[in-house]
Amino acid sequence: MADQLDSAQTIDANGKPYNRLVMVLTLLVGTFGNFLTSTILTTAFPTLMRDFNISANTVQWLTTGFMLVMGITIPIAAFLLQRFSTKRLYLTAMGTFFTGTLICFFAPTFAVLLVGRLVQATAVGISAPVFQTIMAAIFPPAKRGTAMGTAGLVIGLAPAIGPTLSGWILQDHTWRALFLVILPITGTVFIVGQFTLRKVLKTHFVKVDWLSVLLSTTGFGGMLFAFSSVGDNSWGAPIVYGPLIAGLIIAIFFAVRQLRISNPILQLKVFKSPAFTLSAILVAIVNMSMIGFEMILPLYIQTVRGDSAFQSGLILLPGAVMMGIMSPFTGRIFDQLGGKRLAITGMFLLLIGSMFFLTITDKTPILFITIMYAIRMFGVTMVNMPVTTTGINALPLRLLGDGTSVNNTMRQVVSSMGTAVMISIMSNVTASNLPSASLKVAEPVKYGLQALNANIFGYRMAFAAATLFALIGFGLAFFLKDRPYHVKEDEAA
Amino acid sequence: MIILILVILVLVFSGIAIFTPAGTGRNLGVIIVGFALIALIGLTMSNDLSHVGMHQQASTTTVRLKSLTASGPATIAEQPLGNGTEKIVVYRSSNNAVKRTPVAHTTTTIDRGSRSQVTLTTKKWRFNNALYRWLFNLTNEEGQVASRKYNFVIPTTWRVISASKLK
Repeated sequence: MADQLDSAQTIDANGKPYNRLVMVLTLLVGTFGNFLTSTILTTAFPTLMRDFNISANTVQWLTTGFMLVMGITIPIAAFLLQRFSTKRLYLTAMGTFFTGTLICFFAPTFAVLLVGRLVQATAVGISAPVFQTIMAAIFPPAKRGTAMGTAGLVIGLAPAIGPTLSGWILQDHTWRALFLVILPITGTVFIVGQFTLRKVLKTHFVKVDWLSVLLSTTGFGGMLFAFSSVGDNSWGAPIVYGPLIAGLIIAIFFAVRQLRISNPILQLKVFKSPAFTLSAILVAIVNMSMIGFEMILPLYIQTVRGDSAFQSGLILLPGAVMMGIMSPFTGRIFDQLGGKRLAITGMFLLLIGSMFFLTITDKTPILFITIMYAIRMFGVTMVNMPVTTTGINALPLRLLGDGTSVNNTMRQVVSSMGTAVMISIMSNVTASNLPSASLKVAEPVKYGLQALNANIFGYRMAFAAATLFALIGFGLAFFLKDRPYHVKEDEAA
Repeated sequence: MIILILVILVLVFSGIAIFTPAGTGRNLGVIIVGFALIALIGLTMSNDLSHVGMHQQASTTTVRLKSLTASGPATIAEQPLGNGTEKIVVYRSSNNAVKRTPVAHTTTTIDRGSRSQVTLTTKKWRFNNALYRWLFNLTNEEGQVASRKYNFVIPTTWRVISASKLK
């Protein structure tokens, strides 16, 4: 990696030289710590429910609330990137993240823990797009595949190893240890970053359009809240469709306003580039299939098979490691061959890997599940970062931050949507196939068997949705351009 | 082994699809290996779902019964589940161990006859041939129980009591 992300002296936005390798390493470590926390708590839910005497629905807000706030913050990050130095933004995010983690570590009540998590989420919502924008900005288009591949290593790997790592830590320590392990990582990055990070994009004073901020927060917030609530309610519940419809209408107002005003917080003009639009749609579809699957599969492993959270984490681990190992390689291949072949191959593997889960049973060998999941992730690695980079490369340098933020916002919204769709399909299909309650009294063994089959059928249908997403993505991948795009600064998007 | 072949084929497919120059050779390679991958996953799914490549092998064991209760008429006990269509039978085998019939994949019947015995017919999954065994050897499917049938035969002098009376 060091060879590819060479340590040649590079010039920052102030015209001063800096060491790119050291800067990239600082960013990678900091962002890894941030992303690790997005999933690290899921394994700790039973422990937290016991310690704070709270229900499963309440404890889930530590993750859904995290995703919600992150989804609200990401669109604002694009505006912040125009206004403030990347160094200042990233380090502020790290400081905020450190504070949030510290609050969580000392949290005496669940409410304080949740506040700490939301502070963390605000930081990740800023650090994630800032990290990707810096990575895209400090490498020329011809080397961006490698850079984004390396970025993919932390963005993909960290959340995927979170559940396994926390399961391992919780075997001997309390939940507070989960926050304690993160503190030194973020603290070190915050201090080292003062010396190694640089301002890499030119900034200018932009007047904040507060109405846009309000519309973005309530619009995306409403939709994400609705998607987060589908797991416990149905689509027909007012708590789901109310915020969803309101959020959608506000988001449309937000989009129209962004296109009309001179200082939008999210530059939707990036969609004028067909290459960017296609890549954004493809990445969105892959994420719908990937994130939803990542949430549903552990549920199947724990509820249908009765395995522990730690075991389910172990089953997902090879796929996560596969993604981490392959990400830099696919980045290098992208730089040489472009994204189309990678995307088609990846989508095919995602499709056949998903297909396997259509007939899953309660006795499907764990080895099959582990390998098929790894094949899916192998496919995802070929699509995610290369296609994102294809889209980003179609934009001029001045729109990089906007492109990244649009991508991240879409990814956040569709990931939540994909998860919501899969969870609601699973619960609705299960509910409609459950045997009658009278059978439970009359023939409990038969009822148990039929209920298990109904649950398995629910999971199969949820996996069918993921397979359908992959099929759509496979078709769309053929429309990508064959060669990498290289757009000059003065070309309009 | 099928998993190993699958992993190798995924790598071969990716190699051909990504790195070989465009042309008939590449297209042919992608189509052949692609279909091989689909066929292999299809075979894995069929094996998982409906035990393709396997058959059920029955084995029967018969054990003499002893009375559960020390005094009075000889007994076995029954614990009805729900409306009584499903039940667990508690019995003492000839080596004096008290056992309960399982509920999963199990049918239990009690008949009257001249001897006191229980016949257990267990059907287990076995691979059809060496090729399937080689392909699916890491799945632990061989020997999994497909069904169990307990047939109790007791003389008319025996009584079937409720399991709750044993406590």
